[in-house]
Amino acid sequence: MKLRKSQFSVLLVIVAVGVVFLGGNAAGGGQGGGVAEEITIKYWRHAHQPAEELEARLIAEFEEQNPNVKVDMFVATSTPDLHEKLLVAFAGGAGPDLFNMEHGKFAEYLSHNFMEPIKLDVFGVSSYQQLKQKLPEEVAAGLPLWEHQGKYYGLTTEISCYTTAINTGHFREAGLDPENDYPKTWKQLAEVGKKLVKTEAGEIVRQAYALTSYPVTFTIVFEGMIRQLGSDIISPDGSASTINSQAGVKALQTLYDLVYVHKITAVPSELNRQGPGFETGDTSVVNDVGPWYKAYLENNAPSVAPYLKFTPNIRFEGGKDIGNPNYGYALQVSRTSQHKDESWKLAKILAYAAKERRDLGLFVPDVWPWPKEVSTGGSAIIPEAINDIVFEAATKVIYDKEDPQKMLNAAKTKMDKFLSELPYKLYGYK
Amino acid sequence: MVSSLLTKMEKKSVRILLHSVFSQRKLIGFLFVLPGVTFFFIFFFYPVLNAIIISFTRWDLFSPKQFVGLGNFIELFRDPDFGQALKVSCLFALGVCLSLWFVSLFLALLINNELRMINLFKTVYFVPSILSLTVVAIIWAYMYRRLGMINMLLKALFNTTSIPWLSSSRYALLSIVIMMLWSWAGYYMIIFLSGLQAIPIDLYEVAKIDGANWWQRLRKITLPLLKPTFLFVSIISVIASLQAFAPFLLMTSGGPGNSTKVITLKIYEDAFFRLHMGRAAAQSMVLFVIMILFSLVGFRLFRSEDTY
Repeated sequence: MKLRKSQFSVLLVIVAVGVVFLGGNAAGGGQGGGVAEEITIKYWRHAHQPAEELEARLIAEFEEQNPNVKVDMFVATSTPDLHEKLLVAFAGGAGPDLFNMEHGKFAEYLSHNFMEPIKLDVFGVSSYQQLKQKLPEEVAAGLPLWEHQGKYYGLTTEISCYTTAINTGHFREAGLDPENDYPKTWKQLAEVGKKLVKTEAGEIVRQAYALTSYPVTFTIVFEGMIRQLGSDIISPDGSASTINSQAGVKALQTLYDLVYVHKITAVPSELNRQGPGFETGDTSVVNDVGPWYKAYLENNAPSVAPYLKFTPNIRFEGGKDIGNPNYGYALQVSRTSQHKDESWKLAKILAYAAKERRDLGLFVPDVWPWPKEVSTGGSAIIPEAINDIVFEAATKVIYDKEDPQKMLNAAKTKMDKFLSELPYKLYGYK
Repeated sequence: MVSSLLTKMEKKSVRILLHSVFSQRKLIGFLFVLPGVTFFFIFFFYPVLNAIIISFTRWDLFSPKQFVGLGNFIELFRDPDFGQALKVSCLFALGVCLSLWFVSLFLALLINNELRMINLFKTVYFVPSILSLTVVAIIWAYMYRRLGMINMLLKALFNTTSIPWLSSSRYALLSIVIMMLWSWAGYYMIIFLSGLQAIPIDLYEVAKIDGANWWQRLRKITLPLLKPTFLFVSIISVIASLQAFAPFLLMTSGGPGNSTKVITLKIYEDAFFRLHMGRAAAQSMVLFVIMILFSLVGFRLFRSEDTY
């Protein structure tokens, strides 16, 4: 049907307006209209319910003190998820103003020039020395982790390490004294484990010890084991992998034996589980949790929380008396933020709640066994690629019963290639 | 006078030409398809073109792109992880597609009957295909646990020990194949069903009169006349299998070892965790070429001259 000239003209105008409208919206971004002075700070962090609740409260206080500032907090499901989103967001020019990220990414983010050094005037000081005196003790102690060429880039919100957690109820049930009979060495774990494990028709229904199936936490625990045996995943200069050393093979063999020789551990059947089965009462001992786990259990598994007891990390007999490697998180302001002053003000309020964070276990408490565990562990290596390579080798040995030396040799080849292609030096590596 | 006549004729020709090109009817048609074409250009053509260009560069999103020619492709074919990912993808596609064609055709043949409650069965078989694959993957991951529903059921029926469905490289890929079969069979069943219902019933009646049994009717009538449907199903199912991503990310993350690391997962990790955008784009191009080649083979194999 042929349109009349007037109808055709109207159609043309409608289409033209539609194109202009869509094009204008796409170019302008979705922030919408609003009062010119109102600022929105985008703050991104990873999921940890107690910490999120604390920060939501602090953000509300900040917004009250700064009525023209709104804070839009985004919580990623996990640290790897946050890392992926940050990379893509910064690449697209839409990164957050403020983010809370762990130390293993510091070198990478510095190499991409993501972060802004701390603005001293926001804290009313003129030097980093004065800043350290003004900050809470925990935050000041963590500052060196975020130092580069004399400048500091992060305000610490968490310094932690993993240690062993036991279920005291299970120990008593098995006729063991949780105060004295907790496993101090891997050999003792195997012995104690035989009393703790529960089986039905040959199937483990309650594990004595659970292997973590989360690549990040597995690598930290594995790194701790290798360091106790006098070696490391990467050479001291960070240029090559040493994972296939005798120490690496012994560490992997130890885990393998827990599953197939001592039969106190089941092959993990779920992915990305930290402290697997502990919160459901299906595991008696884990060693991939930090002091924050207490608050986590109180929120998510209140029936198990009363039975939680932290003990020193399991050691090797004759090995170094050191804890698991440390990791930390800090608030960092984006170099591309349009609201750097406000972002640092928000970071200041969030960071100053160090006492509340310590109560949540985000800073290591000053009670046994934490001081020794955190002071002897050294720094963790946390690039995703390293975690994936280590975990791949371990799963081939533990899940598929492949030869540990062969798998670790293959892991070394992959890691060496990764390190040779890395455009920056792994930071904070001891 | 002659020259002015020519000029008039030329002018008239130009006017006729312009009118034929820019006639109101054609313009209206063009305006109606413009949004769709624009959408296609922005969200398909432009990204694909960009990916082709990126595949010839070294780029980490933050530094300028560096042209490396075929460097990424050469590196790919030297990378054992790429070879492994390709192998896993092909094994997965083969496993899913062969079983899918058989199972969904079988279900369609069953459903293609005038029986009571047949619509209920049709619905039950189709429902899994409308569920979100993310939800399906999470639920099946729970069912595959060591003490999960599947192992408990097998134990109750056959007194077996727990099978490490997602914890062993021997079973992990098979576990995901079974899940995808359950999820997709209903959808392809409907496609086969429409193909079956397009076959004239007279052909079957004539064959029955001539004494053909069900197997002969299936081989001589049904399968040949389903060739166009097979063509569609084969191409779509292979493309969908090669593009599968969510189940591998959610259920195994490519493990155990790298026994379920399909090429889409490798592309994702190389792009968004390793920031090797050029290498990831090169892998996408290889996958694209494989899909095109398969489609061409499919057209050749299932080309049908049978008409009715």
